Amino acid sequence: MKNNFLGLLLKNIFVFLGALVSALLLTKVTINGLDIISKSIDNLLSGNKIIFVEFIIPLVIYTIIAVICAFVKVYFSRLYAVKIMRDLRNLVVKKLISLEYSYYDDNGSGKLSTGLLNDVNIIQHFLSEMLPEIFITIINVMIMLIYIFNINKWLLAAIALSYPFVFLAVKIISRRVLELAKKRRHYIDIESSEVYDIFGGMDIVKSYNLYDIMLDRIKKAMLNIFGVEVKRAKITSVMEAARMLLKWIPSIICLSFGAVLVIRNDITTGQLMAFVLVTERAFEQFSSLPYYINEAVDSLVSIERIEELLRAPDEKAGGIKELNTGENAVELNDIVFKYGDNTLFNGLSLKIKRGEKVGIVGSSGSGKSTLFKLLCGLYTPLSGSYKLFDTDFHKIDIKYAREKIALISQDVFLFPASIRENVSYGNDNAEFEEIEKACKLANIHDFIINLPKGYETEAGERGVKLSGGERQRLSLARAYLKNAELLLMDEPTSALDTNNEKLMNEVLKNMSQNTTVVIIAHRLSTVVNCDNIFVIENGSVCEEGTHNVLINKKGRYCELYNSTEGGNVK
Amino acid sequence: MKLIRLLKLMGKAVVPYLFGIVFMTVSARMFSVIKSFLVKDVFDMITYRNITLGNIIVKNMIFGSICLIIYIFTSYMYKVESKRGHMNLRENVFKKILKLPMSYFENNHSGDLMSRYFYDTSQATDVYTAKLRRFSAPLISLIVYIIPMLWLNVPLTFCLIAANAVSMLFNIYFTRETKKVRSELSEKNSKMTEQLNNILSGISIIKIFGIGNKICDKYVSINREFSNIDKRNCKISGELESVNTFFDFLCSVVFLCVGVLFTAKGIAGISALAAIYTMYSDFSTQFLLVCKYFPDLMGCLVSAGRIFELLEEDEEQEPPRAEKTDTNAMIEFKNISFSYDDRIILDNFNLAINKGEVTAIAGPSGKGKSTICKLLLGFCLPQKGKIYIEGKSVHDIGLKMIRDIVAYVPQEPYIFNVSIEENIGYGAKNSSKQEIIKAAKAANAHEFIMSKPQGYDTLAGERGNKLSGGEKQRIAIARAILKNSPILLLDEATSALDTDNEKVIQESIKTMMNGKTTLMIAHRPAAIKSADRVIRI
Repeated sequence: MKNNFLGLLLKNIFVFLGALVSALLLTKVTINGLDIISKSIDNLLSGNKIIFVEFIIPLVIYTIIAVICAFVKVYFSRLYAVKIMRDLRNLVVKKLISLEYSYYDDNGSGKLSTGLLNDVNIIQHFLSEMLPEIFITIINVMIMLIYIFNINKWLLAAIALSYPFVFLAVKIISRRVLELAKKRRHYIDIESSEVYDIFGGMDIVKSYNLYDIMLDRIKKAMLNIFGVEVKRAKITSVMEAARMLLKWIPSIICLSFGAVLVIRNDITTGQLMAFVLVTERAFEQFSSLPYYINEAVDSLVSIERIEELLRAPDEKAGGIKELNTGENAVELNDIVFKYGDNTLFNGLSLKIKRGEKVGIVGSSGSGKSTLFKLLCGLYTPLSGSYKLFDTDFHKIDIKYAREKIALISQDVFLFPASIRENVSYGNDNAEFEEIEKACKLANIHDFIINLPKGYETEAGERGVKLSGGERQRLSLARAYLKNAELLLMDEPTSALDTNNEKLMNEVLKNMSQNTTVVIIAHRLSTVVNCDNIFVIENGSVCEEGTHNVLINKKGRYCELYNSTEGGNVK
Repeated sequence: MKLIRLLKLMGKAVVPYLFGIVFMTVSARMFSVIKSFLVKDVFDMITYRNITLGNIIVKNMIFGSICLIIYIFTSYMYKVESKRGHMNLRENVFKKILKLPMSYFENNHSGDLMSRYFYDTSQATDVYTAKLRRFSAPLISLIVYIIPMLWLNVPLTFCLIAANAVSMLFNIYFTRETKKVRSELSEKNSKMTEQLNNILSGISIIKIFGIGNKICDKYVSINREFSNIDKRNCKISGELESVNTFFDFLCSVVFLCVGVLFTAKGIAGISALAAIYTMYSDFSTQFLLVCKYFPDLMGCLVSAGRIFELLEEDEEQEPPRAEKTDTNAMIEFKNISFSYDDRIILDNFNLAINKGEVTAIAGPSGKGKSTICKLLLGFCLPQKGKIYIEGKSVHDIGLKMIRDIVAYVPQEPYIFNVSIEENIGYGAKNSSKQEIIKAAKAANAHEFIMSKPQGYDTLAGERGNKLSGGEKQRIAIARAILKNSPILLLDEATSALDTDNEKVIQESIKTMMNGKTTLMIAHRPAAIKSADRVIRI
């Protein structure tokens, strides 16, 4: 189950083993030191003189060894955690990039983001604190037990008598703790998504005076979390008391037993003293073990979640890296596609010739943007065939296919990098002049050079604030730079004013003859001059033709035209 | 002091909380002390043979059990109250955020806001739920231990304390070093988080433009920087551990020497030594815990500082004072000047809107049409100029009332992740189901709602993603209809809706506008044609 995570644990295992060996040595040395104390006490009690030098020198040597071991133990165990975390984070990010696109729809980016961060933090804590503690504790305890055995095997038996129920108790309690941990995460996730939901719609919250209602929603979510916390508090309090009990009863048993042995002269007082000192430490550590294990169990939830992520299916890779040279750019046949419970397309067919400029119109919700996502290979149709440049799309290497496509989407996402870099994402190898040229063509160059840092101005959330039209023009520049053979434009003029719209149409006219352009538009004025227009309704193409042909049909297209352009064609 | 402020924010939970911490610690430590005295008693018994084992054990068990029971109750009290305090704090932060001006929610600040709510709050509440106890418990423990230790043997106790004090100085030095490293780590961490969020938000662009590897490499390099700093942290931790181990051994040696000396001279009995020693290991651990958890506590208080900053932020401001004006207009914008980020958006803008009319505002993008909506709703305040409703200045009316009398239908209707019924119900508090259905019918939404398997109880999904664009529009319209306010502010949707329903939606918009004073931001020629008056910007 823990394939990838376990792999990481094993990869750096030598570092961890180094820590364990040091811990072992440290404990051995500590015990030797206590042994010296015990012998000194015996000497004292039996009236012998104590030669200080005899025991100081070994103690000094032990101290030096201990100091070195302590460093190694802590340094290596933390280093282990650092290495694993670094690799894990990289693994997660690489995975996020290669995941199937539908994973994002299914999981919601808000939940993914806080969930991931949370889980990563928990795993870090687990690795740097819990894991080493558990192993080191086990080692320490074993060494101490061996020491006690060497003093008197009945003492060891006394301890063994006291501890059988430790593990049983741990098992019972940790199961319940794990359940509660899961529940708690669930309620915390709900609270997070409520908060995202509310913060996302603040304009409605304010303009409809929904302050109290929203507060109630959050309070409700918080109370759910609190309820689970109360249950958890009950269990953990009992657990901690049990831990104290676990230290106490054995020490009573052992101490009594030890006292009896001394009275019977089976062991010396000094040995009893050493025994007391060692068991003090051993019990302390051993009784914290169940506690650590419980905390570690909490972390298992997070590890499982990351594992789930790492197991999620990747986008298909591999395939041919060459396209045919037929006359069609895009050919869709009987495409069936469902988005959640909605059947979006049920038998969609269309053909777009190379070099054509076509428009796609239809009511919102009819799936036009999703169609573009299908064309880019972000989604896969349930059935039907899709040919890109006369080649079966699913046979083409997806990265190669995407090199041939440029998309200008409705929602322009800009990265927190300079404007120049954002535009350069269209083409990695572009020279600065080419970037400038693309921006000039998109009519955004003048705006950019008037910014304080020009092309180096930071875009993105923390960067310069851009209007909808400015972002769209940047998006156009980016696509222009890519100079792909198939250009997909999703509502390219929706945020532009009429001037820029005219410009967009100019750009389209001037586009290379070889570029196939597909435009989704709601402003039909954008597609009026297209070579062909497809009207999508109810999951398939219901009308096709040039603007004039469609107007004369007096069908859906005509209706749409009237309602949006205020036309009066009857 | 920050800590006291933070505690105050816990609300009523503070008192039982502090009571819990103190007594939980005291009972736990007394438990240890009792155990140590068991050791003393046993050694006394061995040496002097003056009491039976049975008596010792019974005495021990009685006292021990009492401590344990007290512990269970007070520990439970502490935990519950700390979580209650946590809840109270988050509630306060949430309430505050809701009252912040709209500028915080527009793209630029939303990430920061999220981080404060989720990250800083949890850091701050960590103080309640862990850090404060981890710091104060050792302090209390030290007191609980010192008393019996001194009672058993004063000189030895002083020697041990002295050794510990020196060790503490070293610890303080190390914790200062750790703090520096930690703040570097935190900075890098937030950079990594930002990168991660960008990947999540921009994944479709990343795939389509094939920049996956590039973005990945960026992340990997920040990650490497982070890990390198973390390695320094490891080294410091290792050094600290060495120092503490050294003092551990040193104290053992001191104990041995002094103990042996005293016993030889008859100043202390072996039983006292044994008892002190068993208490001592826990004692020095507590000493070190103080040093260890003090910087932790301070670190969290830094986050608390950010929460205080947030709680002190200016809330939404009421519009500025203005004299009454005599005008017949329902709404009047007088000499409004508004600029944002050094860009002038409106300059000496005047507009009078008459009662019962539909006034459309048209013009190119970026020139201020949405700004007019925002100004009317009080989402932002003009630098100059005043706004009047029915002759009264918006200051006199107040933000809450303005929002009561203006129904807003934005360009992209926001649908919450609750049921359809609840979404529409947000239009008017305490509306009955019949009223909601009536509004839905008027918005021509009733049919599609009933066609869904769960009808009005259907959940709309994150941002309404289970509904189509047309369905969302109609729910937003139903909301506005339910609100039934005299003024309607409509920022027209740019996308064409379901053609069959396009007419139906136009009808519902007409129904919505009936009898109201409407201010419409128009994008489509069809809408402009239906207005009584058109203003061009």
